[in-house]
Amino acid sequence: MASQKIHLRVVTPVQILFDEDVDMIVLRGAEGDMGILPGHERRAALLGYGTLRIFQAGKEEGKLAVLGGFAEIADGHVTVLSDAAEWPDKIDKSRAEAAKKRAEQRILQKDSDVDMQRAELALRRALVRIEVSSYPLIGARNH
Amino acid sequence: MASMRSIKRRIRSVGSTQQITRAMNLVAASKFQRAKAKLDSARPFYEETNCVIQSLVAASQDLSSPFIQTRPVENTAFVVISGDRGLCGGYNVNAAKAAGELVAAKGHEQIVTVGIKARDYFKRRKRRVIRTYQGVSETPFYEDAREIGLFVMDLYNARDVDEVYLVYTSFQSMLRHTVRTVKILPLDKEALVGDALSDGEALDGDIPRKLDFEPDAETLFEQIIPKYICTFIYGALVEASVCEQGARMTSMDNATKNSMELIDKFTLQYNRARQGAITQEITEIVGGANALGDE
Repeated sequence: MASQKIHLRVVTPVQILFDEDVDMIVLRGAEGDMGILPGHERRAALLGYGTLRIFQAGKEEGKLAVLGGFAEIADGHVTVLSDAAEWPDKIDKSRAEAAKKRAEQRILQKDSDVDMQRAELALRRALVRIEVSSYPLIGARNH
Repeated sequence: MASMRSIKRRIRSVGSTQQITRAMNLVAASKFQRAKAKLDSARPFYEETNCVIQSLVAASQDLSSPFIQTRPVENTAFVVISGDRGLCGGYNVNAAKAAGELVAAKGHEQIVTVGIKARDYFKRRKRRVIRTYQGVSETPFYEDAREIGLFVMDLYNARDVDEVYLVYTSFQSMLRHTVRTVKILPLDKEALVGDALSDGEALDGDIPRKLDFEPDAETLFEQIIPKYICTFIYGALVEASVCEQGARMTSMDNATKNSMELIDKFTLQYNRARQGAITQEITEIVGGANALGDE
């Protein structure tokens, strides 16, 4: 019998951001959003830039900005490995805004292909950060 | 016997050296704690990445990626991690020496050094140092590791080098640091899977570990391997920084102890010289008085 909870771990190179049992997780895969419930099939997935939403006891418990990385789903636990993942309150909004402006300017200037790609990625990162930083920190996370 | 003045001067000079070494010891001790904490928090990510890679490799045996394919070796890249500063016992020399032996054995080298000390070592020996990272070794950040990782992967993918070795100091205990050499490119597929098997925990009973991939195994692999390598480099950087501070602590502690011994020795000499001078003075006075009394 599958357990009714799924264990989520969010790990970055510098710290473990989250390590608890939850009801449901919605994460942004490389090919779109993915909802994960207990008993999900085993899967390794590439992550895009987006919001990781954690659901607990029927309501949304918290949101995280996850910027790339990958997730391993196996046997009742999900491990999210990301170079950069942040809680809303840890995001420096003004820095993200500045990064957004910078990236937009670069895209307008149209220097070279490589720079364009990098600028677009930077822009997407900045947009995710800005979006997530506007969310309140739901639930008293002890992080 | 040396004059009292010169002994006094030496005591003072050793004393001020001692002050410096003691201060360096304290600084190294606090940096050591910080580096150690960093190492502890870097470990989970590395282990998890390793785990995922293992199950990936195990689940898709027929995977072919340039990162795991060996090719005839012509040029070899070495990433050598050392410190920027000295005064840390054999830490820098040991790492550089171990790397140096390997370089001499392989030839056709392209050396990437982290830390000024390793760069100087190889420059002096007229080896090809193609890049040096400064100011990283003491407090490494993941971004630094990423930069180094991407740089060597570019070399590898451009076929400028056919192998990449990483030489760093691994932290066993406060007093035991060993230099480790790890081949980071191409990845050894057998070793990866072998690790998974020997770990035991990766195998859940007899159920074959079937894994679904999104988007597909190839793409996933291409994305994860660079991350894995960067993570590995980051771990090595952090571990080496712990060793550097540890080595500095030990050597500065020794220096402080030595200077204490020296001060004791000089103080003894000084007191002897002082006593000798007093005795001589008394003898002179007595002699003088006797000479006067005789008249």
